[in-house]
Amino acid sequence: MVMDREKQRQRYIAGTEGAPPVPPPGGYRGAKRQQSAYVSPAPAPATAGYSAGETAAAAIEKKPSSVFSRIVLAVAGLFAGILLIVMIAGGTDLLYGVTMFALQLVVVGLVVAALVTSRGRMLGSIALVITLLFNVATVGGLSALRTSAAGTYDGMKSDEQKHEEAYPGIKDIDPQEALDQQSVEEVRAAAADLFADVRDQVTAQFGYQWVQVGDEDLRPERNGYGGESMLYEFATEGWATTEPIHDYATKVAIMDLIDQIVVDHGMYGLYAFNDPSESSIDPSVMTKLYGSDDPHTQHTWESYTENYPDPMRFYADIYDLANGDDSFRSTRDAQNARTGEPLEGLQLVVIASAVLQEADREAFEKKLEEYPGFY
Amino acid sequence: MTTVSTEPSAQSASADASAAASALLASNRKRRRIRRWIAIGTLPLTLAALLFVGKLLSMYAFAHQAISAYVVDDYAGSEASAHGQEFLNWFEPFKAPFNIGTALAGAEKLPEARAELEKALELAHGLEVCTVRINLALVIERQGDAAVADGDGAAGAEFYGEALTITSETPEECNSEDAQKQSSDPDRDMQQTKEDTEDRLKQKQQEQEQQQQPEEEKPEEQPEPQPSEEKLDELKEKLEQGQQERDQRQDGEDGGGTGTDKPW
Repeated sequence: MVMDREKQRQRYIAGTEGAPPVPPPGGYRGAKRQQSAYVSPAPAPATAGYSAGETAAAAIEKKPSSVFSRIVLAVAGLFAGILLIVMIAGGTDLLYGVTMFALQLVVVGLVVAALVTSRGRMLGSIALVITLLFNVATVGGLSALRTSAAGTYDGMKSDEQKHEEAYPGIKDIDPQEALDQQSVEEVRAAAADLFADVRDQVTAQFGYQWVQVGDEDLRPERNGYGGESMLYEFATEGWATTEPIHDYATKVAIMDLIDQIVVDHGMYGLYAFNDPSESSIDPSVMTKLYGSDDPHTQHTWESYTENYPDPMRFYADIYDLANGDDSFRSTRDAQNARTGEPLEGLQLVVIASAVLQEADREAFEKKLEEYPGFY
Repeated sequence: MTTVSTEPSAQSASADASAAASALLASNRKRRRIRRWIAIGTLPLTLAALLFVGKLLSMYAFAHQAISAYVVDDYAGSEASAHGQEFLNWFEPFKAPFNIGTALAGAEKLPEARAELEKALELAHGLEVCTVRINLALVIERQGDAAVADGDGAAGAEFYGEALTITSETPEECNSEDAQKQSSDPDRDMQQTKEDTEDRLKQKQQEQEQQQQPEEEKPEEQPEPQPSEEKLDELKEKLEQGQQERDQRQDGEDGGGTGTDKPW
């Protein structure tokens, strides 16, 4: 025992010149990790359940990853690459399709299989990370965001649907109507005549001067089959008086005068949306739209007529800031900033829906030949 | 003495190695136990995280499927996909009923569509309400069209009035650029769509009103000489034709600028 103690003591002091003493066999108390590393340099997972001798042997006989796990890693990488390419190509529908989902399941199965093999764990783990980052759900989500931002929801349209999408008319409306009724150019001319008469007579009778408001606007109309038709919603430029109109009797007189003029131009008599005596709009809604259900205190008067079966709709509005609250004032300010129109006074505009431009007539008729009896 | 002390020394070394191996095994077992308990302890958190990620990713998938199906007129498919958004409907909760309602509208199931869109309106906040209000107004307008087509002009006028209420209550913020960015129909100006709808509703309501009592109102609003009975009939016929044409036009706009063509 004396000798043993001496030997042990020698371990601590022999050859220690300039170096710290080595740890005792079994390591310092509480230093388990260092101890295990000292006794067995093999990786911790490999030592679990084995003796120190076995782990040491395993460390010595470290084997390379299996061919299977390498294949799995390659497959996971390849599939991720395919997903990204499909996303870049805008194939969100393909990403969320059954084929991709089935392929994804196969990849997941392979990755799991690689993970449970002893020599495939490392590469299987890498494949798992790749699969978790790039799969049909994550890449599909990114692709869906791109599609949403671009608004390119084409879906999986059949050839028939694609054919319908290019229909030049509007669903459920006989295209002959577009050919028979006023064209954009005719509406423009008729509106110009009408505006000129209204301006002249209002100026002559009330002395108001006029200013043009904004430019005309041509907005393509959709065809009801997911595409754009060759017809337009046409809004003329507007005309506005430069002076405000606050007096109730003047407002009535102006609307009466305009009523006569529009009838002279072949339109129906004016209909006042804001007037409870003739409008069917609910008083509460009227208050929201016009500030009150009493024309004396309304901030907006809105009258309308049309020339059916032709497409012209004529609007005559009077804005009166004196009857409006702050909200109305800010609305008018915003409109003024947007179009430059006067804050208050009388305004005129003509709108026509589903009208054809003369220049498009021939192309429209030619295109319709591809759709016999179709609308 | 030396030979006597060698054997105990070897025994001692063997005992040390054995003790070290035992200590290693014990520490490994302890570490495994700790790992297991950490795994068990964090399992709820892990599951919650997985669920969270799954929910987020499924939102995109279901929304995309709902829209894609709608685009190709597969309204049943669109509705089914939109129902997928209802599960754990925590994020942008208005979108699930909005998409369901829009798909139902596409399938002309108008009362059901209206109920879903009204639900969406309750769940929508801020600028989200803009697009919901537009689609809801369009669905109610179609209810009015259906009532008129069935010969019930009074009910039609009532529906148009309700739709007009929906549009008239649209917040002023819906005219902003930010609202346009959130529009479910980025190819069309939201303010313009709202104004078009409002104008159309006013006209339809007025037409129904005039058809209800055509002879009472005309003399007051038209200063020109009283039209003859024949002329009145002609006017009425024209108005009816106009109504029919507008109905057709409105139907034609299913998928059009004022239609509920995009459920997102």
